[in-house]
Amino acid sequence: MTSVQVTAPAAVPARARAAAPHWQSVAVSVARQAGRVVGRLILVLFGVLTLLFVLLHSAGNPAAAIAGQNASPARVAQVSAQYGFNRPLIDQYGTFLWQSVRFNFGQSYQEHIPATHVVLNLLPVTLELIALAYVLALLVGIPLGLIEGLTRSRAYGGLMAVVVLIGQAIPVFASGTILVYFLSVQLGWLPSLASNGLDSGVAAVIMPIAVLALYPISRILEVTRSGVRESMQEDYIRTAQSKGAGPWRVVSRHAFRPVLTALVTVIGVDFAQMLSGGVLVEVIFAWPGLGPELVNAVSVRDYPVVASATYCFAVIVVLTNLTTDLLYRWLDPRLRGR
Amino acid sequence: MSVISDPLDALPPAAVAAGLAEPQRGVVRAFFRRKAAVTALVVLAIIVLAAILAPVLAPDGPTTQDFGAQLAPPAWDGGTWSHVLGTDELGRDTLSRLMYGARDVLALSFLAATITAVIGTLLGVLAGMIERGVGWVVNWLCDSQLAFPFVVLALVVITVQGDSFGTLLFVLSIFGWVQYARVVRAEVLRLKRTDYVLAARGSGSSTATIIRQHILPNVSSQVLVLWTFSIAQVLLLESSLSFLGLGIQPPTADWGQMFASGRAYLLEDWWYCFFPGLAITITILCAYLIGRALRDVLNPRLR
Repeated sequence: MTSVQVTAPAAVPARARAAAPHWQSVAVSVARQAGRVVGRLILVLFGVLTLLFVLLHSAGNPAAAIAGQNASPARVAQVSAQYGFNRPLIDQYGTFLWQSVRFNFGQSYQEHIPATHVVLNLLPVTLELIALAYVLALLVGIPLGLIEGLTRSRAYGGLMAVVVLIGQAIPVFASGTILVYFLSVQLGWLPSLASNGLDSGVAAVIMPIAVLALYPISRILEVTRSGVRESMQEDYIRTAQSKGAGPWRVVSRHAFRPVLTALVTVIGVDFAQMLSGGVLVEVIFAWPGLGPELVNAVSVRDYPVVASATYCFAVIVVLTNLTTDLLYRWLDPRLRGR
Repeated sequence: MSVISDPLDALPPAAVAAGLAEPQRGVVRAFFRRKAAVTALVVLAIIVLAAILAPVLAPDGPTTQDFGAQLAPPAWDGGTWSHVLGTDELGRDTLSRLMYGARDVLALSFLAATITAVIGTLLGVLAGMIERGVGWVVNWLCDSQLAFPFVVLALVVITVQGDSFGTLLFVLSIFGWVQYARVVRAEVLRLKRTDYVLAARGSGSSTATIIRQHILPNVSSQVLVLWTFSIAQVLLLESSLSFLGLGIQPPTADWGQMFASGRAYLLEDWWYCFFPGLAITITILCAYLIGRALRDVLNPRLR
């Protein structure tokens, strides 16, 4: 056999290639990605707890604030000892980290049950509101954006620009109060409170959800209309049309894919702000969720509940960002290697 | 895959020279061509002026009570012209309270937005120039703080610090720096690799000089846009906190607090919360429109 050097450098013989099956390398890369994700999660949660600790102690010893303005020094000292605020800061930090990770924030000052129980009981009610608002936002925002992206109507575009403006620049409590004034006070069509959350009946539930959905509607509308308009100009749309695909298939399968990734990103980025809006909407409509409880805890200086509720909100945001991040990578195959 | 290698080659040389000579004027002209933004600017200027001149222009003081005219309606709805926008349950004139309230609200907003901008830009420059170490820490801080919704973060601080003006300023200043830091850091990372910065380094400029001469001017337009949006955001946050009863406390006039008190009287005395709500909404809207116009006008030109 002549030893002719073939151009292929270091060509792996067929037998050695078969020894490393494809699924194994996929499994390794998935494991590596999962490890990276978990690592980042731990890092962010650690940062969240550290920031929370710093803020809780940003005014020195919190005992003075908790005990109240007219408290005697003896009372302040008592509160201080009760919560352990007289220990060295590093010691408190360590205990705080260790306990918070296990969701132990102490007993609620007001209700004498663990603060975490108070928070976790109310959490599902809040999550229902947020989830329904998002569903409404997607159901309304995507079609409106699609229509604007696909048509050239300037009148419609102008109308949508106003909708976007309303959603982003009008405060939640203003839009909530306006709706309550016209739909409840003047016309009497809808009740103005939803004191039982989802059980208050459909009529009572419409307004809180609609008010909370205004902001994500405007964001989803923005993203969808610009995304669709851009992607409709791509070459692959022309290819799909020339292959005979019907207009609905062209839009839903080809034009919309890149918009999906942008939507997922926008939902993730805005999620923290939605929770803020959720707190206000809950207070306005007496929705029995975490919002009113947090506000109440602040006004009575219920330190464990405030810390626990805040941590709960932050964890939700972090988990949501994680999910949108994973979803984003799954949706856009170009990012899967990273 | 255009035939023209540099779009500027397609234009006649005179126009190119004129455009490059005074880029600022083009930006200003483009801004003033947008009617919405100009209207917003004018309205905002009026509000600021009304706030500054409140002691001179307001019909009454912010806390003067007119016991004969409690919950009086606005002048065109059955009230008197001495209380044009009506009164609240203590007989205090709505218009005067709006003007005096504007002082605290606008002062807080502008101050907090400026502090946030400064902190965020500094940290962004730091994180961009020193990518490891300090850069990682700043990045980590950004991620951690972004996990907290604004209102929730503010509530935590108010729990331990009370609700004085200083606390409010602190709370409003710490929440928004992350967006500046992120944007500025990205810009710094990009600018560090440009030819002129590398040349400046090569010819021995100190880091401080590079930051001052090359980096800061290039991020200034984005920081300005963010600053305008920050004013809207801080205003929103401040009125939300006041609405929850945790902002500026009575009897000092404050729009959010007036709005919250007025809600109880919404059935009969609509003006009590309508005008503060209108004031808040219009101011936020103006700041937002100006920010949007600035963003559209400044970004494509300077990239």
